[in-house]
Formats: sequence, structure tokens, C-alpha cells
Amino acid sequence: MRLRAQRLERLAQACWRFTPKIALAPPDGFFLDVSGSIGLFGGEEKLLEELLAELRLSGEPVRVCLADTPAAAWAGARAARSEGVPPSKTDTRAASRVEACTGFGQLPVIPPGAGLAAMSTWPVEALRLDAETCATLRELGLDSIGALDRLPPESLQARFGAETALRLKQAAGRAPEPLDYLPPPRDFRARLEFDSPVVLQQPLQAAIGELTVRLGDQLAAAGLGSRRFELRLHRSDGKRIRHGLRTARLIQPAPQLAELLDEKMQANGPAPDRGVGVDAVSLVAYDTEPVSAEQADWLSGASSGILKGDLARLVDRLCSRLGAEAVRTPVPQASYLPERRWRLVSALDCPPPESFVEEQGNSPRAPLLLLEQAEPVDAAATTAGGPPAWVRWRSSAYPLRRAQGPRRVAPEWWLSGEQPGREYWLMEDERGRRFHLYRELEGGAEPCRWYVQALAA
Amino acid sequence: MEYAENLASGGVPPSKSPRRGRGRDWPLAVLERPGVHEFLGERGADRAAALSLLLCAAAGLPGAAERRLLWVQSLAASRRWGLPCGEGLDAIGLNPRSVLIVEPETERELLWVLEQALDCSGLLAVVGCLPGVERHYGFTASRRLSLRALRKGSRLFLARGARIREATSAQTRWQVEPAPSAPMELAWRGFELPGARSWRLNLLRAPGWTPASWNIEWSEHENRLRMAASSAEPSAVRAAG
Repeated sequence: MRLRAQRLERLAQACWRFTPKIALAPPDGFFLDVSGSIGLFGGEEKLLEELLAELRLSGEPVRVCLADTPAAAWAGARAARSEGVPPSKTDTRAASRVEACTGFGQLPVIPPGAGLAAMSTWPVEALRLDAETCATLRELGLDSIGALDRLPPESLQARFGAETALRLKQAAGRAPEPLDYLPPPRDFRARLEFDSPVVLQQPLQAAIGELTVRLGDQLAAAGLGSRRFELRLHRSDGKRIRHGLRTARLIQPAPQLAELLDEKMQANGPAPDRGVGVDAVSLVAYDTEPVSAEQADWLSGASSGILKGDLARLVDRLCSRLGAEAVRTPVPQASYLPERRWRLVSALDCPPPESFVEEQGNSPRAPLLLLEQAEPVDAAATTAGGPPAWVRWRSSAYPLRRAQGPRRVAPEWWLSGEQPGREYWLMEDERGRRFHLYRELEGGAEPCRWYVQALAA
Repeated sequence: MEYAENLASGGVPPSKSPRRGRGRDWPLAVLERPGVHEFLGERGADRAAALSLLLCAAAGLPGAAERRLLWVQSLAASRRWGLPCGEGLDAIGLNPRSVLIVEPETERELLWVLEQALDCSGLLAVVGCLPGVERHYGFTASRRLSLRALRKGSRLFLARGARIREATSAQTRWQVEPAPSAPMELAWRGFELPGARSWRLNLLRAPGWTPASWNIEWSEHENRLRMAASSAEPSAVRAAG
């Protein structure tokens, strides 16, 4: 019986934690490119054991083989002992034939470079050839792959077609086999089951710590990060408690996530009810996104990291409630106009303050607070080009007593078409209120327009 | 901690080492203590003056070079009084990049942000700007804030309107208004050059102090706040004991 496409895909999707590179090989197989993740699992054997454990959960009959080429793995998997449901009746003909001559030890692994050697005694069906070609080959007495390999390559292609030659080359690793990988999943999960229900907080915290590490490894292997996590506590009374968590920046779970989750659980009250234990915990990362190199540095702590400890936690908390852009910090810009010289960017995206190079020539009287937008005001200059004697701002009039200026500021020349130059005055009224006023220099047009840009020097 | 409890109970710890060059009677030294420090200011340009004083005061706090300042004001306040500006911050010796700005939409959110921020012990100071009309800030809210501040040793400078609804449990309360700067030479037909930034500071409440007034200014040469020459009148009287 063949796995229906849907069941095959579901089975493949269960393997995301082993690799982000999964390719379906219908009708009954799929490839996992685990070359990047063997290290994460502590070796080939460990990975295979975990993979088999994962696949057994599905209840499907499965066979697995690890090899350095897809072709060898395909053949090896069919040669391997079946896991799960007894295979005898359910397997394809080709598979059962191959099975007759397995030579695997405890685990189905074909050592690197030994693909063709391992396959030499296997029947030609193991090369993924169509039934017709196989029948022809058998009629000619070419039963095994080894026999086929001993033929001169040119005659192989001429007599049995390009497909046969290509498959043989791929099995030997002499020709590449491009795979059509599934789009990476958006959600990742990790799960831990306890031998007996856990009631105490401490082992639960330890388990959550372990989960964040596991999930972090999965995401790191896939080069992904996430902003949305969910912790699920599967209680022995069948209830499932969920704790959702959003973070301000893309993260790969690590101790800091465990900390945030811990906080979250405490905020939501004691997690396991008294007496009702927790059977399993799982951690899900939703909507994963690729992590840029810069972010990866930050995640691994390689860069100095702009926010640390308490402060990072504060910013994360503020951002999770008010939005990622809620906490901002000024960064310098190349502009002469005061409102453009500094721009507010999210505190999460800017480089650390140490990298800030002091701007030269800041006036000691530069305004401390800048209005978001300069407000037009009524003002009257005493003399042409002089400071105004009073200013009317937000429906109050302020007679001005002291003046410093004028300071001319030209907008960037490439913008000069859009904006006229300005003449700044620092003005103080009789009570000491200060205004940073400017006048637009528009080709001597009268009356000129006045704006207030900052209050309180 | 004992010190913080002293403050909370209204007890007066003896003043620690005198501030350099400003002596025991430098009033703003009290801002270095943890707690909630309220600054009342009238509307409009006066509130802006209070906010600029808070920036100058923060620049004078110990650790200003390496710690971060959290500036919290509502969006409406940003529109009315503007936001801290990098150039000016740099000029008074505060690294602009060390200033974090949060703009919550509502007063409730603002109070929540302040509470969260006071729980964080790594900040230089938290500066909050309440809206002109306060609806939620009152005794209870101020108590929550000051308890957190005292527990964590953090400080909050809170700019408020001049009209107070109810008593609050702030550690100190001041009233700020701009003051005419010391005049400099004549600059332009009838206009004098403005001097250093100046404020009139009225102390309304602080443990160990009786209400008093000072004129203070920002010294552009020394880059710190100091007593203005014009506030010669010794109105500051330290309470006995």
C-alpha cells in the first residue's frame, strides 16, 4: 500500500527539527539533508536514533538510511529493517527484493564514499529505474548494481538510456542530485515528556530551560529566529495550559527566553495546580524568520550588545506591550537642519552607544527639546533682518528682550530646491522663557515667515 | 536599604559628602537619592523649561557617562513640548545615544512604563512627563512608584502641571519656572545677549528642608548646574536636626 501524498508530507513535516532541508520523494519516501545538523545531535547515531524515535510516533512503517548521496540513501532505506508496523505485505516489490540482501549493522548508515560499494550486491531496482528498464536488465543477466557498474559507461548510456547512466553516477556520487526542498516551516516546536507527572516548580523550570536550548538549536541550525513563542504545559488531567510570549526582537531561544517565560508563568499565577502534575511541556516558535548575520552575532553574544541585563529585560517588556518601536533613541544624521540632524530609531536596532562618534561643533546653546514640527508663529522683526520684538505662539504673546543670532542654516544643497535657507535666533522673553525661532530666507520676500522650533533653550 | 527606609518613613539621614564646589546647601543634591521627585511647572513654555532642567539635572548625576536615561512622555506631550534633541544633549554632556525615549499613548500606560522602569536598577534616572490634566496620577499611583523606587534604589523625575489634585507620596516636590538669564553685553539694537539657561526653583517638600527658593543656572563653562549669582538672598534654611 502506498502512503498517500498527504500522509507522506505529514511524516516529512515531523522532521523539521532535524533539518530545514526536506525534500519529498513520492510516492513513499522523503530525503532529509542533515549534513548541517549532525553536530547538533551529537553524531550520526544519535541523530538516527532520535529520528527513528520521532518517526515511530507516527505509527507508519518506516525505513531509514543515512548516506552521503540521496541515491544511496534511497536504496539503503529500502534495504534497511523496517521500523514500526511489520513490513512484509505493505512494502513495494522493489523494497522487499532489496531487503533480502541487507548488510547493515545496528543502524543503517552507509559510510561516506562507500555508496556504490555498499550497493554492489543490491538489485537494480535500488537505482530507482522504471519497471521496464529493470526487466530488460534482468533479462540480460544484469541482476545487481555491481554488474551494471562493471559495464563500460558509454555503452551503458547507449544501451539502457541516459536515465540509467545518470542514476548509477548519482549512486556513486559522481553526478549531483538536486533536490526540491519543501519551503521551511513557519513554526518550530520542542517537547519534553516526564516519566511521572511533575508538580514542583523547580523541575518544570529545568525542563523549560532544556526546551529553550533544544528549540534554540533547531532554529540556529535552520538560521531562523522568532518573535512569538508559546509554552504549553500538558497536565495529567488532560488540560493544556498555554503561555504566549512575544519578544521585541527576533530571537533564538536561549536562557533569556527561559527567563522571560518564567516571568510570564509567575505573572499568570502558579503554573501547575496543586496536586495536578504536568506530564509534558512543549515550546513552540511561531512565524520564524531568517536571522541576518548581524542579528546572529547579537544572538550569540559576539557583538557587544546594546542592552544588557535588567535594561534589556525592561526594553523587551516595554516593547512587548507597546510595540517594537516603542523605545527609541536618537542617532545622528548627515544634515544641517536641526530637525534632521538626529533621528529617533528603535533602541533595538541601533548600534551600541560606544560606537557613537561625537559630533563636532555643537553649539553650547543648542536646544534641549525640539518640537516635532516647527510651528509657524506671528512675529514682527524690529528692522529688516533683525530679531522679532515679540512673538505670538499658541495664542499667547511674548515680548522678547534678549536675542542671540542670527545663525544661518542652509539645507542640503541637493534639497535646496525644496526648502529655503533659515536664519535662527535664540530669543528670551522678560520672564526668561526661551524660544528658538527661525525665519525663512525666501529671496527677500516680505513679510517673511517665522517659526518656533524649540522651547527652553 | 536602611537608608531607603529612613527616607520612606520621613526620617532625615545626615547629608553625605558635600557636593564638589557646591557645599552642603546645594539643593539639587537631594535628587541623587532614590525616590520620586516631582517638578511642577505651568503650562506651555514653562513646562518645557522644567523638562530642560530635568535633563540638566540628570546630566549632573553620578554615573551619567555610562548609564542610560529613560525619558517617558505621552505622545500628546511630545507634540506640545517636543522631544530631547541629540545636539542639545551632547552639548550638556549627556550622550544622546544613552537616552531611551518611550512615548506611551495614555496616562495609564505612562504610569505602567514608569513602574516597570523603576524596577530596573541599571538606569541613571527615569524622567516622566505627565499630561497637563492628570487623571490617574494621585496618591496611590505615587505610592506605588515611590515604593518601587526606594526598593530598587532608582529615581524618577516627574514633570507635572502646577495644579495638584491630591497629595502624593513623592520624596521631594519642586516648582520650576524659567528665570531671566544674567544679561550679557548689548547685542542688537535694544536686545541684550541671553546668558546661561536659568531657572527659579521653589522647594515645596523635601525631607530635612524647609520650603525655599533659589535661582540656578547652567554653567556653560563648567558644564553643570550651579547657583545663579542673582539668587544671593539666603532664603534656604536648613531645618535644625
